Amino acid sequence: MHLMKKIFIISFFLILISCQTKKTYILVEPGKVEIENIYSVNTNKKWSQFQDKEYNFLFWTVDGYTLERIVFFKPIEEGTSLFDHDSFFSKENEKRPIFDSKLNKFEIKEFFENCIIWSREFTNFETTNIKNYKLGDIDGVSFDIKAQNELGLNYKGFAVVGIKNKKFYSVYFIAAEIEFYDKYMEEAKKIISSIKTL
Amino acid sequence: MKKILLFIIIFLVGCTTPIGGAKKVEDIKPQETPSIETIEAGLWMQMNNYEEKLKTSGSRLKDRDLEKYLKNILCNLTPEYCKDIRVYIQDMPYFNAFMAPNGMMVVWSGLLLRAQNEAQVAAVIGHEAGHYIKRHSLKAWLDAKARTDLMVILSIGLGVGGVPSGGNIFNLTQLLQAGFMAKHSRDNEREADKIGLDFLINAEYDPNEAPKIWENIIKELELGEIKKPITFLASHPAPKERIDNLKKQIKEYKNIENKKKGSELKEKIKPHLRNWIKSEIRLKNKVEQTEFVLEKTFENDENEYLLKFYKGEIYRLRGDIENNYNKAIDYYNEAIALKKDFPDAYREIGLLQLKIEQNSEAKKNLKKYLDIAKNPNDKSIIESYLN
Repeated sequence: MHLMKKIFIISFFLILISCQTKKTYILVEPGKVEIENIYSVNTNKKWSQFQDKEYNFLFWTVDGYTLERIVFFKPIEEGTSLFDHDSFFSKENEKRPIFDSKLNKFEIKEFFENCIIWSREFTNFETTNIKNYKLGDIDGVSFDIKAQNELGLNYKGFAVVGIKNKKFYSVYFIAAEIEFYDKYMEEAKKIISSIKTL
Repeated sequence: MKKILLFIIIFLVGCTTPIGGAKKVEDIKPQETPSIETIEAGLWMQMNNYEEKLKTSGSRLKDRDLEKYLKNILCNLTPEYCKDIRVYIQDMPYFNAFMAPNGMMVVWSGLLLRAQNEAQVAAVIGHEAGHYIKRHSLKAWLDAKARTDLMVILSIGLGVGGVPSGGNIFNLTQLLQAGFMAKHSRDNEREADKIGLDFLINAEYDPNEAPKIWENIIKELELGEIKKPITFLASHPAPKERIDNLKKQIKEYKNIENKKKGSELKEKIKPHLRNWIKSEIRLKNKVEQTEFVLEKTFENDENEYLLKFYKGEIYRLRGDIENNYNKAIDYYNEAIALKKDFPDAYREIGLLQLKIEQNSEAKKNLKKYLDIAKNPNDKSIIESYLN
């Protein structure tokens, strides 16, 4: 009995400890939200926020990452890339797109596009309709996205990117073209246009 | 030691005879499908599953007209097998095409970018059809299976002979296996080349275009990072070896003068050219290699100004090192010299001049861009640089 009691207490503590490990998903409530001390945004809806120290970004989703998401990249510095993980094709690691703070507005769109293509998240990734855009106080551009994944699912979305203090800031929204883009596009636009840099 | 030698001799003797009954495999007949109980039916089932995924895959090029064009080339080459082989195009910026045992042929966009005419594409399609007709996938599978069994025996044999299995010996057996399999595969490739040439000549294409596509690949490899393809373990013959074989085979044909090269290819790939070139440049291969690919793409093309423009793009995308921006500006200027009203070149020159602080020249070129392009979509961004 004494042994059983010990096992029970140890198990209980182990469960408690496991609950203390990092939370990958947290609930974002409507209202003003601070993101990693980089941005503040306003949302009218509840979102699930994914975050992991291993990744250079966090994202918000309701129905799941593959259906819709708003991705907030952490700012990256000169000489680095949007994705710092290794490529499946090791030969491509040294060929990842590298950020240069002197890129012009067309080139920051191109840099973002090249990074997403390098990550192989989509088999097709096209950007159109580039326009001037202020991301908080950051002078940048916005553009539309059309993409497709390996399974053939079509996506639509938009991105806003800019450079401040030689750092590259980027946020994008993307959703499955069928149903989910129309369902979340307006809210995503409101959220992204509410961005203020901290 | 004697035991090891004995096993090696047994192994080598084994390799001189056909393995896995591969030589007994007969050509597939038109509209033939394998019986359900055979190994081949299993291979077909696997590839049918893959093909179903490919049909809706995002990597499949969304251009049914271009796929139909390639299918027509195939049907022209081999009307008997026209119904049996489906041709798909995958948007992949590398030189490649492959044939599955169930009749699924896949051509990568990088190959279409590099092919200079229809006859060169026909040479590849005919070659791949040859693999299908000769059931090379099945033969390769049977041989691989038989060799794998032999390797197990060899490993056990060496173990019995006092040499510990695993470690280096394991690597050695794998190496030998890979070497022999590669040789077998090279034989298959030669056979497919011969069939491809027969098809080319029957369809009135110029067979001399077949080695040319390989000559270009050799040149491209020489200019790139990997100077020499690995010949011993390569699943295909070395390009040089392939060219020699093809040229030798061509000499055996008679009345092959004045055959067609086909001019439709360039027109058919035109809608994709810009994206494919962007993908090629994005690979960040050596500048000389990418320049060579583009030069071949635009060879005998009336739009030489585009070649100059894209050469400028190669340098611009590599950033401000090794005088790249000035080299890019030189190429854009060459493009303008060939086509005075080419707006994109003015825009790129202007934007680069801003970066290297040639502001007044930059503004002139950006204004010129706005004048020629007439209300372009990016007008507001250009204007933000002018103010």
